[in-house]
Amino acid sequence: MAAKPGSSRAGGRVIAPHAVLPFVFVVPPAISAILALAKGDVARFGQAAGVTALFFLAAWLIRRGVKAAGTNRPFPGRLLGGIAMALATAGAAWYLAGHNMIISIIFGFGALAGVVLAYGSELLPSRGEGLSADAADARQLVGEARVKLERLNRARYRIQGAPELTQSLDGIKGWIEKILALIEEDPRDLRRARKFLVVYLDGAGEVADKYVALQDKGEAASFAPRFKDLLDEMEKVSAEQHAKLLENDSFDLDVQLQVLSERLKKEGVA
Amino acid sequence: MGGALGKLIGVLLLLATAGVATVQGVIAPATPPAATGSN
Repeated sequence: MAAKPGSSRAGGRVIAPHAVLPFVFVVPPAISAILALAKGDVARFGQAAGVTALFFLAAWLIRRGVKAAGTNRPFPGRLLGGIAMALATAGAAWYLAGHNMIISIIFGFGALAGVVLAYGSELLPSRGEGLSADAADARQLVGEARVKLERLNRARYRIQGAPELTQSLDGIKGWIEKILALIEEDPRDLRRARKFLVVYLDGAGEVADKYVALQDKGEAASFAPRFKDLLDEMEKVSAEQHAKLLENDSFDLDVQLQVLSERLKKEGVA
Repeated sequence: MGGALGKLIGVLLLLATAGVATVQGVIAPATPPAATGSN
């Protein structure tokens, strides 16, 4: 399951490259400010510094707006950033490049149109942003799931002398990774997978942690077969959950999840 | 693919406006805009 184009995973989070270009426009007016300062031209230095600050503000707002798009925390950053970018560009054209007012205003409107086209605007949400509630929810749950998966991973590497257990844990991890990839591809799968992720990831993490604790006390050997049974069942149901997600069928799985939740409770791990 | 084309046009428009204005600001002589039109 490949990650979505344009995104990469790091530290359990899905990261997209966010609005770097506007920050590039900060550089030339900053150079103008330095040159003006070197020449002792205080007025031009003030103008260049002001334009630099405005470009930086615009870039920061656009970046925040792009990050906030598709989350539950709306922030009109792209709209405000577009306006700031227009003012900064008109200012640069008027004060620094020496254009007349009409041309400077045209530069400003051009920059505003550029921001709206390149990054969108909160006033004109794109079709993709309409799915934002599901997508944001999915992103959050997948992020949390990856943190839990990391915990499972740490416990897995602390288990010693029980290759059959680590093998089962690897199997469960593999299936959960595949399920997370499915949710990332289609956030609507989240509704059907949420319960599974909550029950299983927590359950698998608890099982592994409990085993490690028992191992540290030297009491793991007698519990190993029971844990192995539990993990085998979890691996089986994980594979089934993956298949059900592919088939868009959730009814049977709810029943199985119920049974497994009870079993985890009985084993004292959930 | 209209979205990708729109983004590309937006980036080019930004480069043509903000990019050009700021770079012109660096290379332009330090004359105040009020001087425009004077000989």
